[in-house]
Amino acid sequence: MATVETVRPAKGRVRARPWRPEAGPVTGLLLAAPMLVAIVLFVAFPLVQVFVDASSGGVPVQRYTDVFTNPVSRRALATTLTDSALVAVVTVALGAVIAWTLHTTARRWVRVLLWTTALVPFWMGMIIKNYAIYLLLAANGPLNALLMGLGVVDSPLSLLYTKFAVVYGISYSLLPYAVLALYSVFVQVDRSLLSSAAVLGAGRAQVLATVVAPLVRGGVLVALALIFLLSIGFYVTPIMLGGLQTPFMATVINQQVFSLYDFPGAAASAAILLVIAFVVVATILALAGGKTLRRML
Amino acid sequence: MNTIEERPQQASTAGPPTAPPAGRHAVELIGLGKSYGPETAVAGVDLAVEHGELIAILGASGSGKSTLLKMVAGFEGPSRGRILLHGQDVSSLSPADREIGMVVQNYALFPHLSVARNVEYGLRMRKWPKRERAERVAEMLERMRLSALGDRLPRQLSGGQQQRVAIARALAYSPRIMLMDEPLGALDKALKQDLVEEIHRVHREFATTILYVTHDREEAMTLADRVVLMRDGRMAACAPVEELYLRPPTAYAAGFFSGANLVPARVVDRVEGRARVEIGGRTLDTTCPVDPLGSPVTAAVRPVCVVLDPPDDAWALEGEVTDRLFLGDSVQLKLAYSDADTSGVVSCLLPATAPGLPGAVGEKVRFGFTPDTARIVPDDQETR
Repeated sequence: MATVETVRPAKGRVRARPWRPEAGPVTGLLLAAPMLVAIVLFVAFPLVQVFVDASSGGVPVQRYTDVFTNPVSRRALATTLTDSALVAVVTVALGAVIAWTLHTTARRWVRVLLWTTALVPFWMGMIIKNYAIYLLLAANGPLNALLMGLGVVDSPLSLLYTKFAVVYGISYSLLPYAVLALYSVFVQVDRSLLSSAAVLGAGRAQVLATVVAPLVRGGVLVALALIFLLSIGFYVTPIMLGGLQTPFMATVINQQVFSLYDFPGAAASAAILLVIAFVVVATILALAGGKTLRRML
Repeated sequence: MNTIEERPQQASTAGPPTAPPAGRHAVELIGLGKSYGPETAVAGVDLAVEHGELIAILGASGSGKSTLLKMVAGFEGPSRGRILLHGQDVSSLSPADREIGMVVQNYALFPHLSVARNVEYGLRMRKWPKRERAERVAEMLERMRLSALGDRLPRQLSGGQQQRVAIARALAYSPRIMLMDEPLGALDKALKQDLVEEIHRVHREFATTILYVTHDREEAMTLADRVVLMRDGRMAACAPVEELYLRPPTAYAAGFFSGANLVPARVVDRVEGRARVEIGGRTLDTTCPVDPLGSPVTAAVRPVCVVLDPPDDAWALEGEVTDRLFLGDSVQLKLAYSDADTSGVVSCLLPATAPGLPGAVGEKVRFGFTPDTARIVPDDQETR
């Protein structure tokens, strides 16, 4: 016969306090309190203060129109928006290739290599990254040496202080964000859909067009928005690689604060950047549709 | 029933027409093998499948059955050998050009397309004209009893309906063969039974050749005309389903497919050309004419062929119940026996109403094997 072990009483104290599987409202509030305080102090308050500052003294509306009429800030705004749009497209395109390969490859070493490639920019300081690219693009740098060695060009190209350099630098910094955002979308595409489409007669391009594209469209739009938003706030890269001739809004705001002591003007510039960012995000999220958001959250 | 031949001419760009060419097999695998580096996943499989046959490829996980199917589908390139579909060598063709249909375990329906658009997908890829696509889709939906669901999205369907969509999608363009990869693997038992019947009906009505991969011997038994038993990348057996069940050729087939007890025995005599073996000191007549006297063999006895309180002491063993499972109409017992030189555990299946059924673990019982139900099976352990 099977022997039944006698149940020994548990050692230690026996608690009789009632317990519920979910924490009560007081516990929850206490746990959340530090975060709530931080959000109010460091996010909500500055946001409101920007608009308050922009309206303080003088003619409030004129500060906003100044941003568009002043040739320096107008040009900076245009540069910021066009460069950031380029960055978004380039980064999402590159990130999509990397993220899709990460999702579909069967080879471990490819995955390791791609994750490393994608995440290395995360581990380097902003200055180091930009300095590395600065050296790479310099007139006597390796890229020019290669181009001249191959006979593509006769004299060094001036790659630094161009739109190309700025877009390159920002894209490099933002690539990890694009890869991570897109990967989280791509992993939701069941790979058996791809093989099923293939058996049903679809070639590789057709599989991408008829199965993958409709399924990831929303996620790609969200990634574009994310990269665009991160890009319009860039400060170091446009200065180091773009020089002072093609400043971003962040540079202009910096000058307004530290050179001109025009705090309300700086606040107005920041507010306009903020509104543009908000409009872009709202538009893209509307395009992407609520379904995509619910799936990502 | 004749819709398979009603294929529009313009659709026959890839491959020969669907009507089976005379004298050719629907599927022919010739020395088909696959290795990943030093690992051999499938080793030289030869198989010829008749038109309209349903072949179950049965095996435990890691037996190579899925790799075999992937090679036929075109997802894996074979390391050796060739694959012929309707006589055409498709070994180096893309999956898209092989003209096959496939149903996989999660059905892989396109989540962004309606049921009708899912079924239409293969026809669009084959550039059927719009009107013929619509006709064909309507026909397939009707035959798979999905007409009312054409506008639904896959996630709005039940598991059974999803499977019917997957089958309709795979058969819409009249593929040369249909591959099914564990289509019932993730389902509960009650639903499974319904879907087994559905697949049976589809096979009958569409007269399609089907390669059906599964690890479930009951599915294989119910559906298949023939069973290919895979083990360690090799074809361990290939036989009509009843033949394989009642007369398993090897110990592995007896254990895996017939669920038989494998009992060590020794040949002691021959009666009318058949072996009489000794098990635990008792003798038993078998159905096999094999082996020199005195050699150790393995006898396969299915659980239903174990009887309690045999009338003849000559083949009664003494045992003890070590486990008892109530299965509804029947009760499964594990009986441990031991003797001077042998010991073992046999599993036996008895009607729940059988007289003298042991009621508890630990009871002593007398049991034996029904004469002429034991088979001597060659040990195939060394084929590893």
